[in-house]
Amino acid sequence: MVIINESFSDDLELLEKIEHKEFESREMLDLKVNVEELINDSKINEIISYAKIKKNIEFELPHQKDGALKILRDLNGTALLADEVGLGKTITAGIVLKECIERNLIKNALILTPPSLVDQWVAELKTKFELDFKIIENEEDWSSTKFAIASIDRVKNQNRETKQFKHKKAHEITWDLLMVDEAHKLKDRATTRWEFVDKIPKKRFLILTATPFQNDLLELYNLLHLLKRGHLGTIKEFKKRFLNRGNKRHPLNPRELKTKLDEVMIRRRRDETIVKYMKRIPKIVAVELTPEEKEAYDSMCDLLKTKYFKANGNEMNGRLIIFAILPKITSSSRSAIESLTNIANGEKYHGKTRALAAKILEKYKNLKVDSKINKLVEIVKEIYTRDKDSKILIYTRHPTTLRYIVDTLKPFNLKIVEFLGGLDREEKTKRISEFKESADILISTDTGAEGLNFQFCNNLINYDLPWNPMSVEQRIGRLDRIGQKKDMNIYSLATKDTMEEHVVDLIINKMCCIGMVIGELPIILFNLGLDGKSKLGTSKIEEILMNNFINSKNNLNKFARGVDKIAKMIEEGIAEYNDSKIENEELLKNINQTSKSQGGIN
Amino acid sequence: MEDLIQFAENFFRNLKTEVRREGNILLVSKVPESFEKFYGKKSPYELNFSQEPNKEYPNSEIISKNNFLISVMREFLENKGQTTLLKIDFEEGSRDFINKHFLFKNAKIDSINKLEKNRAIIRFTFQTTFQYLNEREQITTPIYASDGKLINFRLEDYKTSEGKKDTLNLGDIKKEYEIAKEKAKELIKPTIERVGTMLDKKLEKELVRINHHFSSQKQEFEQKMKELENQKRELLNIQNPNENVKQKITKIESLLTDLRGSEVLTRLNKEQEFFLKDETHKHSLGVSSKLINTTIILSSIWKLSCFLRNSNSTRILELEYDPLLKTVSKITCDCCKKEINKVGLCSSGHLSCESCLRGCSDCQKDYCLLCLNHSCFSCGKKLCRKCAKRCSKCHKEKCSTHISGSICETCREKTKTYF
Repeated sequence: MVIINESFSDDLELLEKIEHKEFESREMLDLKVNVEELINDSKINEIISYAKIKKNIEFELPHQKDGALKILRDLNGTALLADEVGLGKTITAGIVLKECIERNLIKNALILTPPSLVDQWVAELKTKFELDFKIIENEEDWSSTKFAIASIDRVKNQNRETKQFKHKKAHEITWDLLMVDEAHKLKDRATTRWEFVDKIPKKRFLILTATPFQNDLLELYNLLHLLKRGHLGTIKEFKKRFLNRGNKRHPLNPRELKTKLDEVMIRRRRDETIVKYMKRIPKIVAVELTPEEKEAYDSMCDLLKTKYFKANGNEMNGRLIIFAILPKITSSSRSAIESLTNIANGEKYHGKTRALAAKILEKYKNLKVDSKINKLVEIVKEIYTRDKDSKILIYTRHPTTLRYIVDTLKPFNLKIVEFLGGLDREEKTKRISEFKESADILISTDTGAEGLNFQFCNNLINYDLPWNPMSVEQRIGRLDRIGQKKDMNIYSLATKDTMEEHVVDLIINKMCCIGMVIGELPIILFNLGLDGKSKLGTSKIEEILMNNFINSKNNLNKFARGVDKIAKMIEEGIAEYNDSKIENEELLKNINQTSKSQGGIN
Repeated sequence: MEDLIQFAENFFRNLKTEVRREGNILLVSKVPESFEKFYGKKSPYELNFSQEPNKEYPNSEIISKNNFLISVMREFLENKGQTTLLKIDFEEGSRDFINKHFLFKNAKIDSINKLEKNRAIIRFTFQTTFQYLNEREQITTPIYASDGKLINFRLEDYKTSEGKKDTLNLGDIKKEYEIAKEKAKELIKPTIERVGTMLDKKLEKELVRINHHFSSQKQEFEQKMKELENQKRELLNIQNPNENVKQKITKIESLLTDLRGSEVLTRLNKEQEFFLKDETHKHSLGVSSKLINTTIILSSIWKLSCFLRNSNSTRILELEYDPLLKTVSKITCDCCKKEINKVGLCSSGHLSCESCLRGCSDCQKDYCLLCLNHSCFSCGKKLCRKCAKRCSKCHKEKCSTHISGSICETCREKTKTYF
């Protein structure tokens, strides 16, 4: 029997107005009744909130609005949104959310995402949809939050003794809308992550993933089992009807399975939409050091591998020191000088360390040539010789290097915009528009331009390179967006015969510029178990590379062998991912067309 | 489209902006800051309602009913127009109404003095939203009440204007609100029933899916148990079992113990209950009602002082005329106290019904029976006070035929005989 929740609002306030003889013109009432009649749609035939959203998004993509409409109108808000990577599933999901709120369909909503995407979701919901979502940090937050977003990895934790979920409060609320992003992480039914989501009471449920299955159709079963119990029958029935024992990725009755999927799933390919992606052209620029530079560089690496980093006799965590100092020292000669000066003058360092640092500092100060910065000038000149209207985005990890680049490029009569962390929103907007309208070059640190769109520029120079592929992906992502009209030149400076050369090759040539689109690399890293963070807060790949650096003890060949191992692992991951992409495509193609054709037959 | 453009035009006019319409284009300027801030855009606005770009106004914004501007207008109106004071404009027609309502036998209304008082009719407008799945229906119900009772009324049938606060003397309207609210609840019942039945059907289908799934799971579990039991039985039937058979039996027994201990059925029942509940919640019907407007409708009641006049007399007739109910207070005969429709005016100023109004036999003037209480002792004719002459001798009242001077004819005859 249907539950009927009947409520009558407390209208005393309105009656008080009468008592106080507060009246308004009747035209107001007429207008109010009139507008309600005009826009009162009982069924969802249009996305009425789109007008509000449109002004906040840069590109209108019809498939996003159409997808949201289908989810709400035809699938009652419960669906697996499996659009190909790069089609903006987040925007489609945001439209669903906004529309539900605009139409007063929902009073609360919960979004579960991987930890790395929580902040991005919050920011997108705020800027594009004008929605305020609160991040769930503690258990207490559940009771005070109607529109919540949480890292699935945080909330899925169980009490070791009782085996109860720490965030079980999420299970005590009936959510009007639950959304799970990157749901390929829910492919395994035996995980606490899956169990946590399964226990959430919900009225509408949206699952987002581009790859509903990876190696096995059972992964797809597990997702749909979560979405709509019994839709594909029991696991025994599913195996009997659809699972091919010889090939776990090929269903036995693909047509029947497609029909079932069509009832709960939306899948669009890039070629079905107006989205076009441009190529990333990797350009590794080798920097050949002078013998003096090489000597200074090697001495510095020696300094990092020694055990001199002890403060007043107490041993310091060498790994921590290296993680903190290595990127600064290798960024540019000026940042190396700054770091070495700090060590030489730092009282917390051991006397021997300070003396050694002072000695290397002298070597740096006496250098006559800076080959790396000269190479940068060459690249800039080459770009402008090719196209005088070019715009260039230069990335560095350090503000000191940023200033150094600015000082170096100043004499070339180029209009340069600096972009560092800590700028307020107004200043950021001003500088972005300056870069877009009149400037030639924007030089930014990683934190400075996070989340910004520079699709009007197609030259990116990595002056130094983070050892985290996702940070590099973030950099490229500023250019590689919907609206980019040209192929992108991704320049990366790599000092010859140093570990940098190998890292640049790994991250640029083997990970970020191999023809994948934004959003695919994180999936591959997840599949390889390399998507999380290390105990030191760095990415797992970064940690592996740093450990490799420490273990190689300045033996470049040893370091290179370590990098090769990572490269091989990544290569296998990519191959596996591409295979599964083909399989997904094979099974899911024409997914939203079966019902149309069946409709015609009927 | 015309509805939309009309609405937008009225909206901006109401905000006291400058509005100019050119076909399907609305040019709006001098918009109050309060709305500009609410909308987030400075005026002037060029609004195009035709859905096609306009050559003359290439920058005009195309407006459809789902346009951002329309939803902003809706939000802007959300807390507006909650209370309204109206007055029904009746055409002055009391004289005609009285003349139609009553017949005046021997008099007419010379003039009318009016004193106005108001009756308050309260219109409560409730808005009820029915929300289910992803659909939403809305109904608006106006309910009228007055003097603590519900009344049948339609404001649309009357011409109205803004009422004046100072003429309003309204007591507590909570009683009226409560009965109107109850009525509103009663009126939404058929919709609840209709939607509920439809949802029931949809829910039933989903519940069948869930129940089927769990019953299959339970069957599969029981089947597995049965198969293991059978295997065990078969193995136990083997005479002189070897070590391998014994091991198999132990393995099956351990598996059976594990399965029994795992409380699979309990877990499945719990899960089934959870998903049935979840689906039932999903198909629930939310009915929320709120009062969106209270309108006080003032309706005049006139206290009339009508000057009734004929050639012999005048009389002020006090009447109460209600143009809304089209009623006027009753007139009763001063003599018989009965209600009268044909009004007579006695020459002494009494109101009289037709049967109580007679003519004086002598002066022929109209008098009611109260005044026509004299009669000629000789002939019995009814006389008014003025025409009844008392004989100074016999002291009897006589009509003009039977008295001349101060002595009646009878007494005059007697005097003659005596002398």
